[in-house]
Amino acid sequence: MTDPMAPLAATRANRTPAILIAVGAVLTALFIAAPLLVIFDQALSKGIDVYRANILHPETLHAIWLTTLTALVVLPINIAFGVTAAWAITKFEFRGKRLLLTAIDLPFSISPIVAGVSYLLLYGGLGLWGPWLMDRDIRIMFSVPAIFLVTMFVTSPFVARELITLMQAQGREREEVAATLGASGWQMFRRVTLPNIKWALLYGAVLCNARVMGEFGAVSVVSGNLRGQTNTLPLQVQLLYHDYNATGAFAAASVLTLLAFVTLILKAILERKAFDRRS
Amino acid sequence: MGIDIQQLGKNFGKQPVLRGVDLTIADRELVALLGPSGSGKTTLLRILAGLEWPDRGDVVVNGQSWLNQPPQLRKVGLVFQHYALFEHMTIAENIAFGLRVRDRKTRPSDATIMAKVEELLSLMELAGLGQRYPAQLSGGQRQRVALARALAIEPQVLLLDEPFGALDARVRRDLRRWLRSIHDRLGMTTVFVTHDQEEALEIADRIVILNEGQIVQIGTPEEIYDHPATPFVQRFLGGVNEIPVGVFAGRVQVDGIEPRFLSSLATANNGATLFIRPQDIDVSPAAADGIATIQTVSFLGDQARVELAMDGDETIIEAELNRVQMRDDKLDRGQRVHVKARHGRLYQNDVACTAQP
Repeated sequence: MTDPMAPLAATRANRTPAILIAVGAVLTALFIAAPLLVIFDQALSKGIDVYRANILHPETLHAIWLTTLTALVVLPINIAFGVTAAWAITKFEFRGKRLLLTAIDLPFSISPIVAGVSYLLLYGGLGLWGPWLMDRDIRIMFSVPAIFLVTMFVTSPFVARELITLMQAQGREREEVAATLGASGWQMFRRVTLPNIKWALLYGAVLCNARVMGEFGAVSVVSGNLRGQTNTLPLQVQLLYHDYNATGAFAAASVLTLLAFVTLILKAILERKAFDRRS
Repeated sequence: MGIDIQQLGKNFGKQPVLRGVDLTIADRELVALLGPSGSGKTTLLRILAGLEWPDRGDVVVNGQSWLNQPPQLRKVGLVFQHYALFEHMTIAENIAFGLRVRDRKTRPSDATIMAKVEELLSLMELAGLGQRYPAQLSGGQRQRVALARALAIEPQVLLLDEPFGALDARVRRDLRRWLRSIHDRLGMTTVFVTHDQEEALEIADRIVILNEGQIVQIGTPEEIYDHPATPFVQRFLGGVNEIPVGVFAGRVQVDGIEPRFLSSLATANNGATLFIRPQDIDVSPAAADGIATIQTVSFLGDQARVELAMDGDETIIEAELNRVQMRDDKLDRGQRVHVKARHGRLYQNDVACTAQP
């Protein structure tokens, strides 16, 4: 006959996942879905016309533009930095390799506010190089270049980190074979390394982009918060909120959220592609 | 192309990996670098490939030092244990890689490259697989692709790092015979690294045995097998019995084993170690007058490995016996036996001190 323990084992096996899933679903609803819904609910609370007017407000439009511009400037630089750093670290031996690895992780481990303040202390009017720059009429702090600089600093590890893990796992034998077959450094990178890392590279770029667009702390220290000039979207959200313009703030926030959704969808597609290739 | 390796030394940090290696490899020779892991054999191969540089010494080819040549200019074919194929390229593209990366002046035409690829595919018995991807091939096929890719640049020297280590036993046997025939047909110099003594003994012209960054012995497979220079070599070539013995008045004293082959010993009275291979031991049934008891019998196919517990100090000696003969002689666990050694080598202070009988 059947094993007397079987029914018990079966119910237990059936119930545990259900409980875990329920807990997960409730937590997700409470802490992730609800705040997102509130954003759109608040943004649209005075009707779609007010929402449209809020987004089309010149200052908000400028903030959207500045955020996009920051991504367009910072992302390529950090991709280039990430790829070269990861290539050097994983495919070659050199002195100071560990130091470089630690330096790459540094922006992850210090608070963005601290990063902003240290840039202020270097480039600001009272900072280390400030007077020298001021003599030459170069203004970095409280202007758009400052936003680029700190964003670059804060988001620099994303691409490199993503690639280093993968490239370490892949080893360097393929590159070594390519070298003995006569490939130059560039050919080695272009034909052998790059095809093997492209999905991870895109994935790293997507993560980096999300952080570039959302960065608040460091940017708020160095931007100077000049309306319509040096306000990125996250800063604009805060500004509108402090102006008691909640609908405006949430409208701007909804734009950021939509950008985040686009990023997430891209990431999901990339992950699936990478997974398909591996299996 | 002959290679002259002179006084090669290399450290990784404070750890020496090569300690003064001298080796001359003749043109068209097939040399096996044999040693345990950490013996420096792979480092030596990588220095030949131009992937590592030594701290001391030189590698001279055609009268010129190779050390100021990058790997791109050495014309060496390199094959790794795990194939290192370019997974995103077809088999044909993999093989063509070394020709495609040449600059415009020296690059062959597309038609020439395709013809070369087809030629190599059929040489490697891979015809018809050119449009597949590496992931679609078996391990043995992948390793042949790796070899074809290395051969496409018509290398003067072929370097292989544990080339058959990742393959199962049957494929490994087939492939190593086949490597030998490719080597003979194409007439290059081949150096391969292995830790598998069977592989080295079977296909190499000469074997170089390395231990702790130094060459312990160089010789043909017969020389190495019949005259191992040190206990290390003897142990490395496979399971061997080590029996501590006394030497007195030129005679080895070892209870009951009757080492007849040691009749003419000219050595000081001292302790020594007698090495006897399991297949060189004869066992015959005895009544009460035997000198050992069969303790375990394990199945090896036609042969069986038998552990003999010697009377007295209960030393365990391993013998490999023919199973048919064991059945005829009714040898089984618990049986009392006589033990005789046909062959063996005596070492004193790590130096061989016997001639063969």
